[in-house]
Amino acid sequence: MPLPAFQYFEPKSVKEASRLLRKTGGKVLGGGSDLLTLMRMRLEKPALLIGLGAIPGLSFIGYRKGRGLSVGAFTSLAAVGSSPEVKRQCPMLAQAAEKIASPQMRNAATLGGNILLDTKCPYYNQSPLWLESGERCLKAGGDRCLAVKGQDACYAVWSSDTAPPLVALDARVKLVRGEKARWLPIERLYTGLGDKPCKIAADEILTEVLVPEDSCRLRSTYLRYSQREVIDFPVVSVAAARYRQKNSTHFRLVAGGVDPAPKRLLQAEALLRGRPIDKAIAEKAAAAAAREVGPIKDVFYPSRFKRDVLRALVEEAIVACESGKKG
Amino acid sequence: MRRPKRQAARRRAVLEKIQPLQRIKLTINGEEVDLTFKPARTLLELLRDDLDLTGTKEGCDGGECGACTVLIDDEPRLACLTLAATLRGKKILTIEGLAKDGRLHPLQKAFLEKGAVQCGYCTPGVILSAKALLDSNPAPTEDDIKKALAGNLCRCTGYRKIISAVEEAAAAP
Amino acid sequence: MADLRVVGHSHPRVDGLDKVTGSARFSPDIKLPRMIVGKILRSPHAHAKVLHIDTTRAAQLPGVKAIVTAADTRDVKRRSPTYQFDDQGERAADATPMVMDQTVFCEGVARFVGDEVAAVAAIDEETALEALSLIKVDYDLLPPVFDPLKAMEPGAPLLHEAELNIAYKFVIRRGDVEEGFAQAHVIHEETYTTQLQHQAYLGPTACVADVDGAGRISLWTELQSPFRARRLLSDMLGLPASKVRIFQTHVGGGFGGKHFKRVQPICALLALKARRPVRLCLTREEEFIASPPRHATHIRLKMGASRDGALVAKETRIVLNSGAYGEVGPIILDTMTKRVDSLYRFTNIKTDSFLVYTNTVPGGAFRGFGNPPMDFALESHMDTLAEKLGMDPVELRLKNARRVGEVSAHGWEVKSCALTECIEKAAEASGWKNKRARPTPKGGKPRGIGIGCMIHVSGCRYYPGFYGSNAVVTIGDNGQVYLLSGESELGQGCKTVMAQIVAEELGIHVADIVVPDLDTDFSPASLGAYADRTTHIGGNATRLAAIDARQQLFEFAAEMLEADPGDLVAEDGRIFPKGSPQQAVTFLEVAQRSWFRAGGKEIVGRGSWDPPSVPPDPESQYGNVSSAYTFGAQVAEVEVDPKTGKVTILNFTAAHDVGKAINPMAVEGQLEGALVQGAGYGLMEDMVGVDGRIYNPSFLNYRLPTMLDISPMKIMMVESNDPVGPYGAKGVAEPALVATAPALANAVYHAIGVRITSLPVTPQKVLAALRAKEAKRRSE
Repeated sequence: MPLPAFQYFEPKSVKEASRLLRKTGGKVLGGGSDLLTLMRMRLEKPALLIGLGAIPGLSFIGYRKGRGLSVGAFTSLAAVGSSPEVKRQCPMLAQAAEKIASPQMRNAATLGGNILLDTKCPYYNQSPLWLESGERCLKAGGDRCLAVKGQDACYAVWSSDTAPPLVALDARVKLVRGEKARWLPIERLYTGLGDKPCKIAADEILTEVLVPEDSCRLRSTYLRYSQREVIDFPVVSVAAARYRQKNSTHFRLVAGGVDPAPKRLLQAEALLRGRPIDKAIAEKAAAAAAREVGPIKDVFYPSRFKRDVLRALVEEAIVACESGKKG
Repeated sequence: MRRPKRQAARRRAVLEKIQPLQRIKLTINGEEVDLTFKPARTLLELLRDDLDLTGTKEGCDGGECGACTVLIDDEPRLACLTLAATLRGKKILTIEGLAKDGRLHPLQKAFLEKGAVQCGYCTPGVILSAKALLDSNPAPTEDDIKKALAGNLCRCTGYRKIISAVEEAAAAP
Repeated sequence: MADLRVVGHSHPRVDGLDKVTGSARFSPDIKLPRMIVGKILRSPHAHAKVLHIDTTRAAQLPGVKAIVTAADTRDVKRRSPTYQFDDQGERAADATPMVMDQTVFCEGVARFVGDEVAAVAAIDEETALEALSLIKVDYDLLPPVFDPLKAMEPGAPLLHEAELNIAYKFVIRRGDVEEGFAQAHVIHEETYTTQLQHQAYLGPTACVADVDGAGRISLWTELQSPFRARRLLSDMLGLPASKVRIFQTHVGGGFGGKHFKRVQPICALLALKARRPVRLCLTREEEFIASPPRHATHIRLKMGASRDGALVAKETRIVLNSGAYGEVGPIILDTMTKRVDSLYRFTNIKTDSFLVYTNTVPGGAFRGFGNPPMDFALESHMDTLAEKLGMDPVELRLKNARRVGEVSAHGWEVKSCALTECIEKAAEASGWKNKRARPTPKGGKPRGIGIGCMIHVSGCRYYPGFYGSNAVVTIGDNGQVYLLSGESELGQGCKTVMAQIVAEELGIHVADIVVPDLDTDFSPASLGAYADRTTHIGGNATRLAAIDARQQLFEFAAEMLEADPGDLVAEDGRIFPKGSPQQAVTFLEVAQRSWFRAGGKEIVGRGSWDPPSVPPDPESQYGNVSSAYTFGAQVAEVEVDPKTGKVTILNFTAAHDVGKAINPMAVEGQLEGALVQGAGYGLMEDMVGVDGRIYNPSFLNYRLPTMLDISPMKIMMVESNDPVGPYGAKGVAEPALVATAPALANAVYHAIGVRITSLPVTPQKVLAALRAKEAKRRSE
């Protein structure tokens, strides 16, 4: 299907982009791999697309001691995945980036776009004919969620690969609106609502991601399960980061694919806090993780299956982090 | 009702000031072209419909099969998910631009000789992904090849002969 | 067959250069002056009466050039008739059991989500899409039925005007099944189910239609059977066949999915109405929801074996989910019902099989044609029987394997058969014995090895009339040779194989031969690419045409050499009396003489070949349906992740009786491609839909294997040199997929001891089965 008609403009500054967003209700075009797909399906119909190609300084990867690793939002996932600096400072982020979609997609798709990826659901991400051919889900304008039947909230699932690692690493995102910028812990960017997963104003632009110094060079692992190693979105993914303070360690564990947001596995984290890590405790934490999420089933994957896979991935991620092996 | 209406009118006023058509210069297969098109034009439509370069194929409804792979500034990209408007000053290579002066690229030769082509619909995209690989990694392992070409679906060959062809082309003098 | 110079040697594709340079034109690439764009309006309802279609607003939209609905087909034949002929060449409408119940548009009732309701042609795609949205259709919803087991019961909502939703039925009885089971030492009964699998050719189906001033319509499209399409179109459009011309473009893969579809008549209707060329190209979603995929099936199988492993009884009940229409369903059911019975030496057989309508996408032909689901059931069953008998699965198969010279229970005369050799070779090369005993290396994930065997046909006759192929070979003024064949090049490589045959017979090089694209005005007729008939039947016709041309050429050469034409041989571009190569004239010289000497002529060689096969008797279903049967054995080794249920294929070993490999590289390519398609069928491909909607009509969620999903493959071509096939050749493209899924399922069972009886063997199913096994173990 061709794209619906829209206008296109490439402003020279973030400020101008933000002004246009405010005045037109347009949308920012990152790499286009998510937005253009949604537009083809007529799930998004912005009147204006704002390209970032003419704005300098949005595509970069830099590390400064004491501050941390910062990555421009317009940096391609291919650049993130292959960057020696990212591999050095946040290997888990590189691991995640290079598992996304396909090589061609990674050359186009941006880190910012992946952070703001719309949630996915087989009841929603469909063509106009499909949506017409039966009951419409909440996100598509219906009365209830069809994935989690009877619910009046949307349970489309979070399927971005880079978000769980960034949440696990307690990254910050820079959001710019006109002259003003604010820094937000990435965890707080996500609403947990399937139909509006990101808390970002219509005229705000995500320009930069910062992984703070405390989160650099940690032992960390990102694991994802999907039936194929390419093209597929993750069915379940897990990011684990091991923090060490004095003689005590704690983990930040985040799951993808099981909830409308990247999901902190707090009960599992609590079980691991300050404890020596061995296989037994990893198993226990993994079991807790599988209990604390209510993985959203879909027509392809039963909830029980996702839970079992999550459990396997959490255990493996903890063990891999502890042993220092790269995941 | 008044407010949304006013807002819509204001929005229209801003949008009306934006050029309705895009005009850019870019290089396609070594030739500089100056093109004007609607903003919703994808690179795939630009190539196939406006320039009649039908060697770049459309296999899916967007971004899932790799048949439309072209090289943009030497990187493999999906033409179906690339807005033509974003390509100002870029260098595009399609399958039509690969053979030089009627001489086949080693990959084209190897695909032919190794039986890596059956129906041929995925072939242009696969060859361009492979070209990008060989340009950056002249001696790829089988694993490298698989990773680089994994975004190109093929339904006929079972991929084995494609791998052999890329290996063959890499070994070519 | 001694001294073959071209046949039996690998040759690059004759259309390869066109394809690697991007100049090859497929149907979506065709562009004509003033061409406009067609789009189809489809039913969003699985079952609904179409009360009224209002096209007024759409017609008023600027840029809309034509709108067609069922009303525009009023004057044409409503049903596409069957076109089979009796042995006197008379039309015998019911000779082939096909249920031709699909009209150009659904008429009065929409029967599945995606059923074609109307179409528009407009100046561009955007306008055409807008016009579709302006067509107002009043539907009256009817109760749908999706489950074939429910649909076949009395009282179920009916799809067509009949008392039941059973579109076709076979009742087969051979020997005495009760007696067989009474003698059996072990008996096993199990239910198997298989899914909808889509052909998923990369190139979508498109059609460009153009009407000339004389009202003659030309179509550029991708078809596996263009001559059948010409007949059907001429009847559906109410035009004489002379007014319909079909150009075959390059075909972006077919696998059974590019036989005549609604897209061709709809495109033609639009062009006739708009009086402008129209291109109609299906989107990938349309391909998934409304192009006929491999049917979903439900198979109840009970088999008995004696203590020594002899198969003594087989009882089967098959329900084939036809979807909304019948079409080729009955002959796919025929394949499911009978084919595997000739793989092993069954004598006591009882089969009841049903083709059942449901409100889902109508199924159709797909590589293997009903054979893969039944072979999955049979070969899974064989392993369970072997286990119950305490026999090795390979041993059980060898014990029962079909052998050359035998006639099967259905009257199939096996004139060449290397099944035993295939099983032995595959077992040997895969390291079967060792891996069967010790599949898993220490500390590793569980591994297993499994085997599957298969039988297929090289052409399958359902009626007594002409079931052959025609070919023409002409020799040009510069020694160039044209091969005109009615067979369809789908990418499988038949143009190259045919060119090799001609080169072999004329003693020239493949490079000297031009194989034009098929054009129904000029190409000799053929039935088309299905049932693995192209190389075997088309190859024979081509060979005869080349021999005819050679004989004519020898007449001219004989004049020049003052020799007897019967003594001449053609070799390496030269013609000379046998044993006297020094006296040679060149092929070119002789060709020019034929063209230019007074009283000469352009040499036109003709070849027609109708295979010596027999249609099944309508009552007893007995008959030698194919002139050559193919056999094969495949071994798969897998590793299973017990934590995620994921199955990784470690390697394949495939040994296939191909008769004779005319182009070994191409045969290898067919086998490799089929193994991966078969692995997709076995492990991941599944059109998911329970409520009439397909949830994964895209390559994102309908998962084709990628380059990262493939394993090493050991391919062995076993040449049994069939006495009927050209140079001994039999079909190869379809067989290679048939045994793959059962080999994988058997390997999974060997690895983890759980038997997955429904395809595909997904991680979800494996993990659930492992959990159930664990729960059972605990409770015991």
